[in-house]
Amino acid sequence: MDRRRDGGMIRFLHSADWQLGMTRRFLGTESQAVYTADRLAAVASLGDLAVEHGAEFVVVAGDAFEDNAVPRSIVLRAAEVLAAFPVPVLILPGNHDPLDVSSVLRCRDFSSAVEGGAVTVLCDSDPVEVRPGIEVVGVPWTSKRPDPARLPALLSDLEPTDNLRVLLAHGGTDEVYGGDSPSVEAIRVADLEAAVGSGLIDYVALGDRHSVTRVGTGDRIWYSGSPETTAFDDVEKASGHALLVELGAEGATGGPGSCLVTPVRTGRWAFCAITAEIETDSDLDALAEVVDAVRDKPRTVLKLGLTGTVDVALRARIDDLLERWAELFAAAYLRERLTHLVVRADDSDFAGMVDGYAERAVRDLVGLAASDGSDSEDAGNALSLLYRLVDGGTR
Amino acid sequence: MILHRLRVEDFRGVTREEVQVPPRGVFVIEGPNESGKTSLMDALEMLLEHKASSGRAEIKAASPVGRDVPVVVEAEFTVDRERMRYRKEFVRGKRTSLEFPESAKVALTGDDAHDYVRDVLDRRVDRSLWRALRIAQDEPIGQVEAGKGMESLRRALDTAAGGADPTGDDTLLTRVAEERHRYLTARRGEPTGDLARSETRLADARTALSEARGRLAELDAAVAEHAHHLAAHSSRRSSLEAVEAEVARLEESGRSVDRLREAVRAAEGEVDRAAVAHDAATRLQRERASLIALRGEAMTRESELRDATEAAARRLEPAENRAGEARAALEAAEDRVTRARRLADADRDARDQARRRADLSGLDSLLETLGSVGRELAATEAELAAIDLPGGTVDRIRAAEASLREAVVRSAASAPTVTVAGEGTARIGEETIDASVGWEREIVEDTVFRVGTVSLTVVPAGDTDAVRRAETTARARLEELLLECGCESLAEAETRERRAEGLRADIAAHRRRRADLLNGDTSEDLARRREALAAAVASDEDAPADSIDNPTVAGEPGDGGSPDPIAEAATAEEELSRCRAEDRSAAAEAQTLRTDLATRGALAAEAAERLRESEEALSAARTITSDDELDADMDRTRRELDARREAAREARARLDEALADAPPELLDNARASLAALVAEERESASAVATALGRVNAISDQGRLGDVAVAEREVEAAERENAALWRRARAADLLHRTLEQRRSEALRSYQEPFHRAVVELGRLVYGRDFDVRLGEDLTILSRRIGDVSVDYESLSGGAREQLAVIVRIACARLVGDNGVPVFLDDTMGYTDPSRRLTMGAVIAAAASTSQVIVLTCDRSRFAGVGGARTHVMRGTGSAPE
Repeated sequence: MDRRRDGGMIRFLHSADWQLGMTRRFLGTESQAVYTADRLAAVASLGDLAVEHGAEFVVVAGDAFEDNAVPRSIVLRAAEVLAAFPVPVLILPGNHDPLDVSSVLRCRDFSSAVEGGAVTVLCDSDPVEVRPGIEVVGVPWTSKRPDPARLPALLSDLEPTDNLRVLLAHGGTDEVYGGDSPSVEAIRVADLEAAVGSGLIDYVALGDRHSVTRVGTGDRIWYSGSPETTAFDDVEKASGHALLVELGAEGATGGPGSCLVTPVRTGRWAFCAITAEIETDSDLDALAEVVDAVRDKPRTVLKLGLTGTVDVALRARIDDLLERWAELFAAAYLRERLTHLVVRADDSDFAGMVDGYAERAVRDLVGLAASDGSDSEDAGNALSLLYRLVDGGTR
Repeated sequence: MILHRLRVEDFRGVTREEVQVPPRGVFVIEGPNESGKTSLMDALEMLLEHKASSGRAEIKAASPVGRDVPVVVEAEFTVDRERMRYRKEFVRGKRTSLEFPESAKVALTGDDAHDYVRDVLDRRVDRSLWRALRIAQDEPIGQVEAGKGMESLRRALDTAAGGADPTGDDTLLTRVAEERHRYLTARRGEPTGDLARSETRLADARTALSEARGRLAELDAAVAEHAHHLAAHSSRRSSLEAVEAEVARLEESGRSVDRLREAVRAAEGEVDRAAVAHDAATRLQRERASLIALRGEAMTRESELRDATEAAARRLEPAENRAGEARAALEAAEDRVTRARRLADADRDARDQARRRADLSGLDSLLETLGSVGRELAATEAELAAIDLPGGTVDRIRAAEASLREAVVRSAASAPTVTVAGEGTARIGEETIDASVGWEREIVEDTVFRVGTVSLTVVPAGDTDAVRRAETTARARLEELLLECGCESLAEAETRERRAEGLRADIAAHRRRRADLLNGDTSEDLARRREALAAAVASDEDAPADSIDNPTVAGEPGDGGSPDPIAEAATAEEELSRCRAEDRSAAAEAQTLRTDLATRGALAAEAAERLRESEEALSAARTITSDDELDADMDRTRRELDARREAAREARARLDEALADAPPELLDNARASLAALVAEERESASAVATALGRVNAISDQGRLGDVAVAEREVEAAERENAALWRRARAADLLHRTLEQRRSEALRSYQEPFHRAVVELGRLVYGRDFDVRLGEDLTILSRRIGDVSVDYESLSGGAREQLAVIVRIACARLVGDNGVPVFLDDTMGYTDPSRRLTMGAVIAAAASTSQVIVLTCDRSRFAGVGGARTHVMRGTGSAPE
């Protein structure tokens, strides 16, 4: 049945870059286990969202798995989830999980999802009919090496069709990545827009970029982003979503039908990169207020870049807070590159706490900490240590 | 801290004892041994340190033997202007109470009371100073390490050293050192504890990550290898398919070639058949022509042979005639030769006889000449033998005579000649001579001349004897030689020699002549030859005269007037030879002509027979097929053959074209390539399968998970390691800085501490007293005047005195902030003469400090001015 002709609406979910099996080095074992489970849960949520929004199928524009060599448990669990999907899932092999001999998408452990019909792996560029009137074509990666000739070849071979046609592709575009790159496919947006403009393609589902990103001047070429956060928010924007795509019937004059793309939330994690200048206790209070306001702390990673000149007491407070946050959050740590806290100490910091030669030692360290020497940071830390030892010992 | 009161009940041997201590000054507690003085100090220590509920052995040991009563210790003291009454019942009851008699503070009990006091003591009482200023009876007297740990003393020294602030705290340094030691070793600053474990963890994590990445890379490599093999296999596959297609094409072409080859073979068969027909027609025509030609040739030959036979017959007749004539001439010549031969033989015999006679005569003459020459030779040889001298004889005689002449001359020259003349006699030797007669001789030996009384001795020259003997010998030699050859003189000998030479020449001449006469023969040969000749001559004379036919009878041999039978015989022989040659020639010619005639006749007959046969054959053949029919067949078969040949040529052309398109070599090569490619394709398929197996084997192992785990571990280990190193560096820097400043402080404390000690010491040792201090403010040596003694070398008394002096100095330095100084049973080693001055030292602390002296001998401290005394009653003493 041709949905264009009967005037109906097609809905499907566009997702990509699940990268199941991805790990984050800054996560501890416990948090990593939660993160791994949540990435799969985000995938599982696509099924629920499909039902909720009446999506007929789900397309995955590459990198469903982090690598072809992911642990077997990841594959089995993914197959288990996908086998129970309420709608068909069409998966395009990406550069992380290329369709080479070691392809995870063709392995025995994943076969239950494929052989049961829940999952269709786009093994070549032949159109796959999801149902009559809807076809999906894709450019699967067959190795980890980019092959910029594949997509242009596919586009040139496409014949006009009355079906709705969705194109899956994986890689960077010249628009997003600013030109050719040897490590990405370097998809030319102009080619895609020409194909869309000529009616050869109704929607282009792109994968590789983990942030939700609209490509080109129209509204039919999108990166869906990763369904769960993979990087800090200073790099990755609006990840943790899938795109609900609604394609309408062609217009009365024969022009293209409507296209409505709506991001839907799938992820739970947040990777927060926070930079703050700390000079006073109130600065630290403000930071602490922001951090404490985070709701799902076990699923949040904090990366702090702190700069400023602090006294030893404030530095000790910072250290205390960091220790506390490291326990509260999935991970919390200072970014070495962006952190520069100069410990400023004077006699008043240790007033009534040390005296005699210790006091003179404090003055030495204060001077060293204020200098530009290589020992300045160590001197600041030494003062903090002294502060803790004295404070803990006498108060 | 100021101790006001101490009460003890049932502590060890002390049943009950209570002392009231003045807040300043020296307080002497006197009691005999075993009276419990030390127990008072121990009880106070137990009260302050241990809980009432403690089960420590030392507390149990404090319980009086055989009495089930609590051990009670009660003290009143002031710390930081807060007065406290502190009581504990140990062993039994185990109660604790703390009251504040001078404030409204609520009294505390139990652990609250204990903890409160401990907290106060920890924070406000210099416990280290408390321990340092105490001299216990049962402990060796050690030095006060004033440079370590005593906060109040340090503070006092710092003040005395001019510092505006209180002194530093070694407790802090200790904590810092402990903090540093959590990460770094004390001596070499190498990682230890958590940091060392972190270093190991980090190294292990990095190794594990490297290994995990290596294993993951193996998968990538395996995938790449599979892709490589797959591409190679695909290439092989494509090549194989191309070659298979080529082989199929070539095989199809081969089948077409086979068909064309068959067509060519068929066409060539047609050509062969047409050629056979044409050959048959040609052969028949050629046979017909041959028959015609044979007939023509036979006719010609028959005619020619007939003519030749006639000509031969004509040539034979004159030859026969000439042969007859030659035969007759031959026979006549043979007769003439026979006759001439007989005449020549007779003439030859006559000539031989005459020659033998002449030879005999000549031989006789020669023999006679030889006899004459022989005789002359013999006579000459005989004469030579008579006069001949041995070779060299004349030369030897000539030489002997020359030697003799030389000897004579020498003799004459050597002997003086004495001539005696005058009148009278003279005696010469034994001989008496008359001088008037004259006398002259050669003197050859010593000769004495006496003339009167005069004796004159003439002595010849020294060699006269030898010369004389030489002359005699030469003479004897000459005579001997002449005697040997029988000559009288040299001249005779020379004459005989010349004669002998002439005779030898004659003999040689005779011999040459005889040899010439013999001419190589011997006399015997000549004699035998003469005998033979003589016998032949005798035989000739006995033989009969020859036949009449002998032509030699007509004349004597050598007679020039008669014909020469030998020449005639030779002439006849020559004539005979010529006739024989003529006869042979004529007979041969005639025979040749006869044979020729016969041959030609036979040939002519045979040619006539051949002519007949060929005419019969030609006639028979023409009867079967005419010559015209043969010509027609010939033309027809030639056209047929040409047509077949054209068809065959066209078939071959088509075959050649097909072969050019697909030569068999190409097919062979393609098949060979196909075989090789099949093998290669099989190998590449195997390689693909192997690579796939390897990928499958690796890919199932989830190696990415290992990498991820290792990466997280490295991240965590690096973060932990960095944090630990930050702490370690901070602790190390803090420790180094504190140590440096502490050392500086200790150096600054030296002067006030030294001043305090020396001030007190001079009370005891006089103005010449001095000490040298170590960095920790311990005494290294004591000097009195010019005598300096190391501390360790001092006597027990001196060390005891210095111990007390240093403690009192410390107490004075600390002043109101201090603690009680306990001197338990000291001054035992001190010379009584110094006890007075030592008393002054102890008394010097009285104004600022509380000094509690425990002694069994009050007299030791008699010199302590202003001291108050409490006398203990001994074990089991009741309260005062």
